[in-house]
Amino acid sequence: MNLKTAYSGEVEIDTGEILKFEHGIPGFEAETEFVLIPIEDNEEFTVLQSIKTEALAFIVTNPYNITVNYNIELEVSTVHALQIKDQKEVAVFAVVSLKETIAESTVNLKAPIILNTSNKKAKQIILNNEDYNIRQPLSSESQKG
Amino acid sequence: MKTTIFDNHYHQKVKRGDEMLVLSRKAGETIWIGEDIEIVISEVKGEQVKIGIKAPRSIDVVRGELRHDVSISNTESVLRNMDIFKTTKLIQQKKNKKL
Repeated sequence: MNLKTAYSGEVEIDTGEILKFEHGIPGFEAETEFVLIPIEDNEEFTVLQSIKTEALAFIVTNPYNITVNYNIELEVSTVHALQIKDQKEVAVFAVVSLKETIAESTVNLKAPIILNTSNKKAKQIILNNEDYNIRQPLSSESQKG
Repeated sequence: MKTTIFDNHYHQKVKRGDEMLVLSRKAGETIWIGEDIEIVISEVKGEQVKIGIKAPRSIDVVRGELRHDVSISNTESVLRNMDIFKTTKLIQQKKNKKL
């Protein structure tokens, strides 16, 4: 299918690539379908585009690339909801809040998006871990890494 | 089953028009939600109420203010333009050269 996106023009996507967020994400509970769109010449960040709302898109990144020792433990509720059978099926993304510069931008390590790559079920979980911030500056984390 | 106990000293403001069931409970009393969720009022001390929640592990339990903060953060994170990637492209190229 062809999808009109907020900032990536019209792209052709395979319906099998659509990520299913059963309950949306906090603040966007009605947005249950998204798709990942690569950014040209940039492997670090990816666009998470809403299927329903053309204007709605986020930037996500691999938290393991920017943070040393990012450890998350999945609750049984998440394993159930996403029907995860094997750890290898799991992909983790962190939502980036872009500011004027990358250095000022923050990443939400407290509420990562968990994706079951086998069935494309996804969920933004909220970690109980006090070590991770909702607004972690990207720059400081990069330095650590 | 998991039991999560946390203090809630935040006042919930209920907007008019929102439907909400309000029950008066004393310490030690409980409320059941459906067949498998039990809310226990474990302690009432001044403005603080200690609440125990017994729910199947398939149910997420999260503090309201934390979920609210994630909502706010998500709203702040909505992509407004891609300009930043035009400049980072140069930085990336420089980085790669260094490596």
